[in-house]
Amino acid sequence: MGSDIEDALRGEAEKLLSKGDVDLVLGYCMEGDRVVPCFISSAGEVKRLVWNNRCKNNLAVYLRDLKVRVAVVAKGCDSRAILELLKAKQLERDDLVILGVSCKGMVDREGVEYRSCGICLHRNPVIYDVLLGELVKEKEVRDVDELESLSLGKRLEFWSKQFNKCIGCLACRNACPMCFCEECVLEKKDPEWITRAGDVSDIFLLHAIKATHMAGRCIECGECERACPVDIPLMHLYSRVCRDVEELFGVESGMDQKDKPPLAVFDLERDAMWEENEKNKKR
Amino acid sequence: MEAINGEGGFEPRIVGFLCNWCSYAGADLAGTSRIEYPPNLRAIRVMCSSRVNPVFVLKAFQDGADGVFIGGCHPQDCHYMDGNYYARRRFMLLGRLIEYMGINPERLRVEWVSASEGDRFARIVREFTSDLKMLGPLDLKKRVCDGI
Repeated sequence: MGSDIEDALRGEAEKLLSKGDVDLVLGYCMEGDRVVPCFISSAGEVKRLVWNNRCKNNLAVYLRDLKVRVAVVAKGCDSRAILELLKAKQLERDDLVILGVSCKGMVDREGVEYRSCGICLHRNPVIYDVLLGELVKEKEVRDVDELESLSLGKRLEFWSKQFNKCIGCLACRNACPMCFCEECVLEKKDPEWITRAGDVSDIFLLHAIKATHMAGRCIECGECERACPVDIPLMHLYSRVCRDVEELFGVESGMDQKDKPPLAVFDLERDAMWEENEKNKKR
Repeated sequence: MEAINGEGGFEPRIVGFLCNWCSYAGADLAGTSRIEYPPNLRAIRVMCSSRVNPVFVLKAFQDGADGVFIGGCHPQDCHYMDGNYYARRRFMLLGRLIEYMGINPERLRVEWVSASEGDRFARIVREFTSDLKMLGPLDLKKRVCDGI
């Protein structure tokens, strides 16, 4: 990660703020030895902005709550989240300046690359107004999910063990830029689909429901996995749903503004063909 | 739901969501025509197959169902023009998800049954019940809680 991107970022932020084009710049800054998201509101503060290989947070999660004009630093995954939010009419495009940055994969404090970054195919921003630095070469072939090779029983065992750790804090939902429902089914009390004081099977239900809600939305930024205090590999689940949506409905979320939400539209011929395929597969 | 364990061993519990306009009427026809089919399916009438939220299916599995059946109108016959098309997409996806999480996707069955297909409805229930007998009990709650 060159410091020239950082310089370009600071320069751009200063320009935008001093001209009054935006009220806020959303980026990353150092807090001790950690990189955290930060909100810069005056041109004098732009020196705080940093760009390195630890800027892991998905900044799109904050955008809905900001009712001002914002310039946002966007990696591949941030930009895809922004695009999905724009499609869902959760953001105003005119209030946004997207500062696109290509990402080379983020690492944790020990310098190990995050799993979600390792499997990422979209490191370049999909949508941007200003591109800082240059586009990078992207991986083209997806890694095979090792869980696919397990038998049904082993998979249930795997997930049961994982969900046994879950404390139901919903950090995965809170960190998710695509989870924007005002009223969340996971927390609803009437009807209470998920008993909050329930057992592991309620947690199983919770994650299964969340996975169904991620269909056609998840942009695989991996924030859920990073937010999880007990390290449940949630991205396996959501990635699987993403692959299914791609295969069945031919749509990859966060890639094209023209795509419709896959579960809110249908394609008679294609769906009939896949229905037949799925039935034959089971037999 | 209480288990209906007869002398013949395992009797699967099936929750059936039947659309008001086609499958439910089909089930009704099977009844009025005195076509015999296993009593394992508990019918829940919904206004449309697209009324069925994936949550209903997952909750049924959690609460002890061994199989879930969703019946809707044939494509192009939906009372609400396109409800079953949305249902079709939704449950193709859910089938794959439960498979990934370790539940046999055969336990979720989506079929299009019209109001005149009483015999077909009975046949599907017979088939589904025998399939589930082969698969054995799901017992999701216990298996998940025990981690096995």
